[in-house]
Amino acid sequence: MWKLPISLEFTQLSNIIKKLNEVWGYRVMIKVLDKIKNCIVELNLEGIGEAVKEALKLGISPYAVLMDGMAEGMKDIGKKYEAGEYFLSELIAAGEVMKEGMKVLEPKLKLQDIKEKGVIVIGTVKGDLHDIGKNVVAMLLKSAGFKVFDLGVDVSPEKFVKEAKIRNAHIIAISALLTTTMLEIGNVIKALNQAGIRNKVKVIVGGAALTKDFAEKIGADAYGKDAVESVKICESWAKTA
Amino acid sequence: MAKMTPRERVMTALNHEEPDRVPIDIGGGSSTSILIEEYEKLKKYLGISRETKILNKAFRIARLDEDVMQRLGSDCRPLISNPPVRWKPPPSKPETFTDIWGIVWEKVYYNKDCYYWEVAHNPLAKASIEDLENYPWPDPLDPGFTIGLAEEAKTLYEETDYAIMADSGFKSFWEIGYMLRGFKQMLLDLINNPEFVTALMSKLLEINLAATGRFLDAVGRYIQIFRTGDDLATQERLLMPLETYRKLLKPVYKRFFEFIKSKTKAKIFYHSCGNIVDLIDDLVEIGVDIINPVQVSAMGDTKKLKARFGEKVVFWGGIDTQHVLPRGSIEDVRNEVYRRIRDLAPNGGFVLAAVHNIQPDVPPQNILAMVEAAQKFGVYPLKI
Repeated sequence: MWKLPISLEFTQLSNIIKKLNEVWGYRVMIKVLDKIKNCIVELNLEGIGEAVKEALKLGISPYAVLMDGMAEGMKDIGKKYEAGEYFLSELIAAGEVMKEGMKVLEPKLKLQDIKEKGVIVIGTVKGDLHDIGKNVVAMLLKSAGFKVFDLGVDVSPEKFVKEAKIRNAHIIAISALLTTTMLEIGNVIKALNQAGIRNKVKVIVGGAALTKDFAEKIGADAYGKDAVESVKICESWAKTA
Repeated sequence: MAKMTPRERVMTALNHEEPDRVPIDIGGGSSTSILIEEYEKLKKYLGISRETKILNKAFRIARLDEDVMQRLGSDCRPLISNPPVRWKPPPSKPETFTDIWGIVWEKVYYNKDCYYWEVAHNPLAKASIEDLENYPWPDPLDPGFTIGLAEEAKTLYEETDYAIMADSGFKSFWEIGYMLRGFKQMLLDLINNPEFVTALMSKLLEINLAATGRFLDAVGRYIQIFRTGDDLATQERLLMPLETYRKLLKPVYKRFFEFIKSKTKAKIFYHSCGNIVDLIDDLVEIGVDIINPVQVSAMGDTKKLKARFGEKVVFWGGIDTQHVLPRGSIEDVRNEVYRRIRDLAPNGGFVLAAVHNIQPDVPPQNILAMVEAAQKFGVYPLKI
């Protein structure tokens, strides 16, 4: 029969049990964060809310739920899109799952929790209502930890400038789909110059008709070929890595 | 080679043989025409002063005049269904209109004189499967659609020698579907509510079959090309996984194309913007003869495209209108035409057209340079 060593005092025993509990609790926490991540990757709209609640109940901080659960899931979505395994339909659906999870999480998140990588003002240029690509970019940027202000569609150069100033933006992301509207991007950059804030912001541009050459010609800092690449570029400009 | 009539030229190319020259389409249909403002610029450049007629209201496309199409060497002529007589558009707010499906469009100006009609309201955004039964669908058997159409087609067939491109107005599933539902919602439905997609597609199939049946009974014997199309890709790849297309959409198109083939000998023309390389085999399998617009800025090397699919499908389009036509020089346009003819025209199977409707940012000189180069480099046997 196995006997406790006589020298093992009661306090030591309780410490071991405590430690075991901690390790066990840690495992449970990791499991539920994985569950959250998987809900996003598997586009599970029904499961995400419960999983987030479960995580919060276990005492995981809301910020950890966001960054170690949901953001990890979105990273995998980006990878799967790059690998050609996921399509626009999956990107949109993942965004909805994220939104569903945020419904539970957002009220618990404190603003100071979010270690902002930077503030991004994003929009589609004047005269252009196309926003599906821009919305995917905005969603991925948010889930990468940026503070994103989405100005929507048909945004005038003046509005871009005004919002950039108010929000103290460090990146401006400009989208246009059409050959007939892409020239408007140049007008936004001109307006940033005229307002004297061009050197305070990085400008990334994207949209169907654009090319790298065009982006360079109009004086943008970068051209994002697709949503995933755009996020990578913004990450390289992030304030905190 | 003896000079062919435009219809012979097009049909020879569609049968994958070499005609006397590469056929040209400008103005034949609602993805190969010219926007109203651009057409007015072109007419001014050609010294023609005449009121512009409309081919498609929502897309703001001009119906090109006969003398202009002759000047451009276009081998195709459009035949489209007429407006309904039992349906009147409901009252709309200023700067908007409601179409026959109940979709609301609004004017969006992209500069002070030019605008597009963009979808402003999706009437089925919140609908359930049950709601589809009570929705005020268009009446596919409205006699207005085909009034006078058989005579028009007969005249075009007997008194001209152009290839006739027919558009029944009832040919879209995915696009009409997402305009009714909302693009984002429809993409979500593919994953979260596929039953709704199937129910909506079935309803659209019922309507499109009825209207197209009536249309083809009137004109089926006169036409050479039947236009269909739904955008299914972004510039990178398909909008959805191929398996999703196969499960939810392909059966609907298959039934529709079989029905068309049972009513006419016309070739089936399928339009989808974007990179549809991964879809071509499936399209061919269910009866598509022609793909348009061959968005060269998205589909990769056109030479490889021809090598891989050239025996199975006709390429219709191919002249870049995202970069070359609006921003290129006349020399750039000539080089583009030369390159696409070199890549796509050997052994026939190619009809040259701009990738999509020519927008107001294209200099009229570039349109003329395109058709002149096509007539120069497109002569068979090809010397390039």
